[in-house]
Amino acid sequence: MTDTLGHLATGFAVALSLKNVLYCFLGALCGTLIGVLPGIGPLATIAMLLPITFHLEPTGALIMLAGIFYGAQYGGSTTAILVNLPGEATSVVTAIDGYQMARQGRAGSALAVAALSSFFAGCATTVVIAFLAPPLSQLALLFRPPDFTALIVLGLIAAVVLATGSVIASIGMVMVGMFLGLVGTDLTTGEQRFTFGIRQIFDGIEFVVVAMGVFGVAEIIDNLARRETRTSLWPTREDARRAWPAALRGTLLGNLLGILPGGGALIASFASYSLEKRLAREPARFGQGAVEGVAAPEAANNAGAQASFIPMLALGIPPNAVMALMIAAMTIHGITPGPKFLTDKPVLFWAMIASMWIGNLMLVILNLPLVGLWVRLLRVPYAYLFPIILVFCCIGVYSVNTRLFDVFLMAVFGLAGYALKRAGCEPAPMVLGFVLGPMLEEQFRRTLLLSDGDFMVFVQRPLAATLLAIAVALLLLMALPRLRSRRAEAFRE
Amino acid sequence: MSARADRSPSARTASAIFFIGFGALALHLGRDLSVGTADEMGVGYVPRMLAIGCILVGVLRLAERALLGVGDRFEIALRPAMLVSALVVGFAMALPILGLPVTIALVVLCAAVSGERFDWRWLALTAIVLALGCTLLFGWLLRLQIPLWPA
Repeated sequence: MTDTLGHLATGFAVALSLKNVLYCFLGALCGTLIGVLPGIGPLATIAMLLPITFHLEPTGALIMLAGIFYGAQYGGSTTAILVNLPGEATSVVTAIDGYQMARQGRAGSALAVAALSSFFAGCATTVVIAFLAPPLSQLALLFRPPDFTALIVLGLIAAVVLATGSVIASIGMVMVGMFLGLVGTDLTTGEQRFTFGIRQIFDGIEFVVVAMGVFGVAEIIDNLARRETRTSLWPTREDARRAWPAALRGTLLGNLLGILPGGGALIASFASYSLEKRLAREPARFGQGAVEGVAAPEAANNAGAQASFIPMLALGIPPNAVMALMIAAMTIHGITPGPKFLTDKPVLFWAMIASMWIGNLMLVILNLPLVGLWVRLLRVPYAYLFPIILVFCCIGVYSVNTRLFDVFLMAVFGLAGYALKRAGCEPAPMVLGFVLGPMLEEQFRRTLLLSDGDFMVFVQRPLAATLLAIAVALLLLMALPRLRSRRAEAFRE
Repeated sequence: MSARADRSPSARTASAIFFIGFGALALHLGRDLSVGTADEMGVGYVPRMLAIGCILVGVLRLAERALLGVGDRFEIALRPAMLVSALVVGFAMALPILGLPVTIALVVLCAAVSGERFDWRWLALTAIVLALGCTLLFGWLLRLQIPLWPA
């Protein structure tokens, strides 16, 4: 207990140095500035700003990333509320009532409630992480190769279940992503796979190229293809009395679900919305601009996203695509998240926990006065906006390895990503598969090497068996009702 | 939906073709990689599993199409797709020759053909501000290795 507080104090001491606070502020500022641009979700924002952190030392870089993360997340909610363009799946729920509030002239209220709920959830979750991460990282040491394999499979299945659209298509996208992730030099044997003698992909395809292509470029194409008309907005009044109990419940739910490996934040935001609707005296208000419908999912989403740092830091397995990017960023700085991260780099770990809270605070300070500005920024016509975004994508990708090849490759991924999206295949599961594919292969290989090729090992180890059972249950739970409703839809035709 | 939309293929069929094609290509390209056995996997083991998995997904998508009907259509907006990728490719080709600021300005000006409504004066201003801003930020402040001046 006192130990944890002492560690946390050390973390704050590092994170609160003037330089680091400045990095955090800059990160939050850039994250929000890019994140509020319509069509650029948190994932693309982080991918775009990632190169800026390359030039800093690891602690400063991670702290800046935390700021960028919060800025980007909040930016996604801002567009969800103002123009009904959720930047990422997690802010889809926010868009339901948030956009209605904006249309009724309560955009300012919705944005403020979103920021304050997020902040509240962030504060609470920082404390939870500080206490839970150490025991959880101990637990992680119990994991053997078969358990890791099962855990990664569970994570991938969760990504499939949470993606919008067809489950089958999402499974396919995960496999395509895993395959692309294996391109390059095999780490165990040093053999080349699917490189065709192209020197630039001997070390594998650059993650940022894939992410920027399928999220940044593909999204710009999609936005240009279907333009939406925008309404003008005038922020007016507050609705705090209704919002705060909802935010409290959302925080709780977000913490509970976020710790589970595999997309906790998203389930949390959906679950908290339905909880509020069930608890409300007049459920009919929901979908018509109910402030609880903004407060609860925003709190849950933020708490969930932050709590998902726990499985990521302790197990080294990203629960969603945004976290996958954060892992990629850490690896670039020579940090490997996993059970040893906490013991090997305690100062960095605690500084990061502290900077999460600071990043969150920055966001509130930054955004409350700027709400009016965001509203105006969003009225910038897309004709000027999209070339700006595109230029940032190009520079961002180029700067990772200072290689023009990567920019060309981004164009390819952009086109492919757009076409696949039109074919009903969401790119997010692919990106997660891309990151987890090599990890899965490594653990899978190791498992079967140790078990002499016996696949029963996955059923014999209780931990692995449980995780796999959850994965199967999730898949069935999702597939059955969908199939039924799909069939109903087919019969109507 | 327009008459044209009715003629475009089902999204299910389109994705099925992609998955089967991707899987088949992967099998073909990886035919020389050693597969090995489960207890001693070669580099081709997991890729082959994934390739077969992709083909299966494609077949299932075809089954979806057959059992559940056409569903969403596969419609591609060719113009923005071509324009945006051309701008990216153009950026990559122009950068080493023209340097960052000129390339950025050109990309922004070429974006005028997107079909979005715009005003030339504002677009020119965007081009200049973005070119100078990026040069300042990435070239001088962050000291990125990026060509700034025309070669």
